[in-house]
Amino acid sequence: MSGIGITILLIFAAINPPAVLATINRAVDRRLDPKVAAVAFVAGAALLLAATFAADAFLDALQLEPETFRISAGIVMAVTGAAFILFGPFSFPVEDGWKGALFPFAFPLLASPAAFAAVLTRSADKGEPQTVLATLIVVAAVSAGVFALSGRSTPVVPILARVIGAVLIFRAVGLVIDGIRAV
Amino acid sequence: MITAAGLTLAVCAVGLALLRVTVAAPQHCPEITPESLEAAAGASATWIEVAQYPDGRYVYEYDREADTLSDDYNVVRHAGVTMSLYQAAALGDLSRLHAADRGTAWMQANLIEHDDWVALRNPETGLVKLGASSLMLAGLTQRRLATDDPLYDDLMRRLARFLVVMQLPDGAMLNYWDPATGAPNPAVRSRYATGEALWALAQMHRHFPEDGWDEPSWRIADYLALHRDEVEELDFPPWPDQWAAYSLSEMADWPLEEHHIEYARALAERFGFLIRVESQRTGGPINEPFHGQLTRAAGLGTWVEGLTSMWRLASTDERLADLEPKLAERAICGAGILADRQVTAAQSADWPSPALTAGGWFRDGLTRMDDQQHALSGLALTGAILAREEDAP
Repeated sequence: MSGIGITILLIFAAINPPAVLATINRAVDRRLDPKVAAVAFVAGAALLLAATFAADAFLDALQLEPETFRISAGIVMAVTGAAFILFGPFSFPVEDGWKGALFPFAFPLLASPAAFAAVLTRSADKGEPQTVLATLIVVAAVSAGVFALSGRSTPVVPILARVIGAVLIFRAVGLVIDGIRAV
Repeated sequence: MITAAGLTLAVCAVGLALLRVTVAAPQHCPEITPESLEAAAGASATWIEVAQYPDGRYVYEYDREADTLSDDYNVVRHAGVTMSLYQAAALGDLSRLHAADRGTAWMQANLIEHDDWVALRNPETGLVKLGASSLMLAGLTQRRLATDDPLYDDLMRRLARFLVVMQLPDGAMLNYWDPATGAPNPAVRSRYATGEALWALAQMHRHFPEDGWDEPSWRIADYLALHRDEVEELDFPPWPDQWAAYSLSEMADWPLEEHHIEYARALAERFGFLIRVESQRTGGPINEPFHGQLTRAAGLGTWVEGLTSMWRLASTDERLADLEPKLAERAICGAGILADRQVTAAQSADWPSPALTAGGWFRDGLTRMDDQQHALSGLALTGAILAREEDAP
C-alpha cells in the first residue's frame, strides 16, 4: 500500500465511520440536517488540519522525536481500537443544530483522540501535504456517509465498528513496532 | 452537552497526562560542542590514568561514598580499558600511549604460550578467556594505527592465531581455553567474545592483508548476522552488540554482503531506540518508576560506540545511507547525555578523593573501570560526527 493509502487507512480506522454513524443514530432518530453534517465536516477537518500543520511544533514543544511519538500514537490508537471491540460505539447526547455538529459530531467523533494521534504522527513522518489530503478525503467521506445513512436502521453498523476497531489495533501495533525499530 | 463535553475533555486530559509520564516523556539531549566533547573524553582518559597502579593494572571499582577500592579484578576489562586508551591515541590523543603501554606490559607479563600462539590469562585463576586476548589484540591494532610502530606485530599475530584456535565450524567463538586439557572448552560460548574476536581479526586484516585474517572474520560475521541470536537464545534480537558494530564498520569496504547490511540496519535501529529511551530517563521518584534507573556509563557508552560505528558504515555503504543523519543525531545525543552525567572537577571537590571522582561516572556511589572505558570510546568516536556537522554548510 502506498504512503497516502496507509495514511488514509490509518485516519479512517482512527475515526471509525461505522462507530460515528452508530453514535449519531443512537441519539437522533431522523435524518440529519445537511447543515449539521457540513458544520461537523468543517469543524472536524479544521481541528485535524490544525493538528497536521502544528505537528512539528507540537512535538518540539513536547521534546519528542517523531520516532518516539509513533509509539505513543500507536498506544492511543490501540486503546481506542480495544474500546471499540469491547464496548462498541460510544454514546453521547446530540443536541439539535450546530451545537450537536460541534459536539459530539466534530469532536470527539470525527476529530477523535485516535484521529489526532494519526494525523500528528503521519504529518511528522510523511509531511503535511499527504496528511492534509488524506484528512480531507476521510473526513469528507465520513461526514457525507453519516449524513446519508443517518436516521436509517443500521443493525450491522455496530459489528462493523468492532471490525474496524480490530483493524485499528492491527495498524496501531504496526506503528508501535515502527517506533521501536526506528533509529 | 457541556457536562458531556467536559467529561470527554477530562478523560482525554487524563489520558494525555498518563502518556506524558510514560511513553511520551520528554527526551533530553544535552547540547555538546566539539570542545566539551574533547574535554569530557580527556577527563575520562585522565581518570583511567589516575586510577592506574604502578604495575599497569587499574582501579577496578571505586566507592566514592566510602572512599574504598574494590579488591576484585577482571582481565577482560583490563584489556578493554587499555584498548580504549589506544583508541583515544588512534583518534589523535597520543598522550594516552604511555598509560596504555603500561597496561600492555601487565598483559605481556601474563601471557600463556601454546603451540604457535599466545593468550592472555588471568594470573589469579589461570583461566584463559577469549575476550581478554581479543581486546588485547584490538588494543594493539589501535596502537599500530596510532603509531605505525611494528614493535608488537609478532605478538599480534600470535594472539590472532589463538583467536582462530577458538573458532567453531559455524563461525562462533568458544569462550575458554582449558590449560588442564590443552584445548578449548567446547561447551561455553559468550555473547561478548564472538564480536570482540571479530573486531580484532578484522583489524588484523587491515594491518596484514596478506595473512588471511579475513577468512575467519567472514565466518564470524556470517554467524553473528544469521545465527547467533537464535543459537545462543538471546531475547529480543538483535542483541545490541557494539563489538559487532565496530566489526561491520571495519569491514565496510571489503565489502559487506546483503545479510550483513540487514544485520547492521537492525543493530542501528536497536542502538537508536536505546538512546531514545535513555534520553527519557532523568531519575527521581516520578521518572524512575516509569522509565527505569539511569543506565550506567558502561552500558550507555557501548550504545554510543555502536551508533558511531554504524554511522561510519552508513557514511561508506550507500545501502545504509538513509540512516546516516539519524545515527549522527542519536550518537550526539548519547554523547551529550554521557558528558552531562560525568562528574566535573568542581563537583569532585565535594568527595573524599577528588582525583578518583573527577571525570568518572558513578551510579549508586560506584564507578567501575569499564564505565570510563566505554564512555571514553563513545565520546572520542563521536568527535568525527561533530566535526562533520561543524563542517556542514
